[in-house]
Amino acid sequence: MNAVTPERRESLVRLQNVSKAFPRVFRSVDRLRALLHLLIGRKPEHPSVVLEDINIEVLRGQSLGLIGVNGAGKSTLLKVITGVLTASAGTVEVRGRIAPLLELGAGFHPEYTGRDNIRLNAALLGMSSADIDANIDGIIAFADIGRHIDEPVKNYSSGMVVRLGFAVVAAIKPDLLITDEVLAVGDESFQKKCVQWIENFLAGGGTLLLVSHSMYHIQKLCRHACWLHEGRIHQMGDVFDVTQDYLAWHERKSRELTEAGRERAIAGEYAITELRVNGDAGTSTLLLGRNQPLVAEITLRARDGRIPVLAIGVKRTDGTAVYGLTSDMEGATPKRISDELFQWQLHFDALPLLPGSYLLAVHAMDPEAVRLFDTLERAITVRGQSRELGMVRLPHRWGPQ
Amino acid sequence: MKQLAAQSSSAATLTWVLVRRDIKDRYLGTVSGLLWAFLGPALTLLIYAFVFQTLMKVKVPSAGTTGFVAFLALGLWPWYAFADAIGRGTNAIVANSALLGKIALPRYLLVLVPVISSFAVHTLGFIAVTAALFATGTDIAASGLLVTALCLMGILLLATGLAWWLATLNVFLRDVSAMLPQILTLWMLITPIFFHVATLSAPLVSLLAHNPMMGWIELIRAALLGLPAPSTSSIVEACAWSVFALVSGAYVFHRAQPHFEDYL
Repeated sequence: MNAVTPERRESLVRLQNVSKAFPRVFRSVDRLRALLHLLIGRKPEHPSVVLEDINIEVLRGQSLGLIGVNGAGKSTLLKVITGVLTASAGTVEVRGRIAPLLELGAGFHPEYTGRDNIRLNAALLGMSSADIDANIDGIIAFADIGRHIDEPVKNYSSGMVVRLGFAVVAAIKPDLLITDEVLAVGDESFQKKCVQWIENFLAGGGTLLLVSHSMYHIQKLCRHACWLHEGRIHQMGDVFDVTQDYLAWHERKSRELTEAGRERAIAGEYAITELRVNGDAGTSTLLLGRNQPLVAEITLRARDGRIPVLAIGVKRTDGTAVYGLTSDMEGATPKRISDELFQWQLHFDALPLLPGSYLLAVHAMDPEAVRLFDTLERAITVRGQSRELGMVRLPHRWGPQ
Repeated sequence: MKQLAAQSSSAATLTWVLVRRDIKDRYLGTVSGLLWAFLGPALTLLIYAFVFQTLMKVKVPSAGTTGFVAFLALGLWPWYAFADAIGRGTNAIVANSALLGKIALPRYLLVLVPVISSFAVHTLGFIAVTAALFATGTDIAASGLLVTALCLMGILLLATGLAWWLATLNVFLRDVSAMLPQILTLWMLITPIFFHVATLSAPLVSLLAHNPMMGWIELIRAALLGLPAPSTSSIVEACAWSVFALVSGAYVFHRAQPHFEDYL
């Protein structure tokens, strides 16, 4: 696909030390001063920095994916490249015909019919009258929204608006396509059509700049990726390296969050120190067959040495409770391991859960069973096939015998 | 060279599409459509004529030959074009902020488009009213049409320059569009539309002489109705105002426009 040419390819986008900051304009005096500064050629004061020291070059035929958390500056960067925003510092060079497909319905007039909007949008993207006349039937066919083409765009669904926008962009035959999450709005078959179109476009030497939170799309369509973090380039390079590091960073972040929560709970008065399910103390999903035994071994710690109450239950992953009980209900006495540690074992000899995903939830409560101090969950998947409905197999028999 | 030609051709297409869209927008949803562009001003003309001629008995130098309605009409339509263009041009950037935030399009066009469409609509009205006056027996000098066209061009340049100025100011200070109607009303009243300069006292004339619109209106009437022509110096001053407004407006707009999006 990406034929390597010996000579250096032309660069379509080149950003050098680009920064973008938004001015602070709360009072009208600030606005007036800002205007005066602009007119006499002084830099306005810019306290809120969104992009800092960005260096990016996109060569013809390259495909670059932009990733990063919300607020990392991805959209601002695209706006700077498309010329909607002006960089506060640095140089932005863009060559060739750019087709931005950014926000939903950008450049569409809600009162106009789809057909009129195609003309307007195509003109906004730099198409001449003759070209528009020659291409409009093809655009309408690509959008494929049937009779709605002669209805006002305000009556369109968001998917139809995207179809229209993409159809125009496809007809422009751009050198550089700049797009973000908008394609995600289309339905399955239209998304497939778009991805296919982009793949053909890339195979034909087109250049792509894609912002997406879908690593699948980024990896499928881009060869390079750039990870923006807090307005700076955090990492840039091969798409698989960058996306894997990015995903790993996310996993680390969410693990840190849950671990921080655990630590806080363990420091509390009553806490779960260990949960073993069928002898396994890990955190991965436990796989079970139907009607298999499940043994939970739980150790709770009580700082005051009084026997805490254990609550334990099974729920569906959406939170619906299947069955739950507490140790004090049935007078279950724990094994005292030390002054502070108490251990229970709960046996389900043949777990009657139907196939599906469940959570085993364990809670540590005070001896009065009033307050909940700690919670730990373990995912369970019951494998197998069944045409029965529900979560649990209820014991039953058929009549008339 | 080829690229430049392609660029200007697509800019022309864009202007054309936007002007059509603008005119369609304004009269979309009214029963008589574009007819309103003429009917509204014509009704206003009749009201003004009634107030100034019948109630206030305003005197016009050669009223005997031309009649007050013709005198008023030929001053009023150029003013409509001017005031309408400025009023809508001033709001053009703020009103299109949604579009500007999504598409990089030449921002000067956004101001130019309502100016052009206002002039297109009111020039048609002007032609219609001139034809109507001619048909009802007013002595319209056909030889004055060329001068009139040049005068309208002069007003167009003035309006374009002012619209660029005001659109820029309006991005930073929204008060501009709020104050504009009052300013335009005042400006209309001190422009010789309802009266003729000859009826004013000398100190008042020297005070109003620097009004950028005065020379053009006077010249149009002189050309079409055969009224006394304005002095050469006032024509030169009108031309100077138009050029100054256009050049300074273009400069201010050019300087500020890359940063509009930050303040919208």
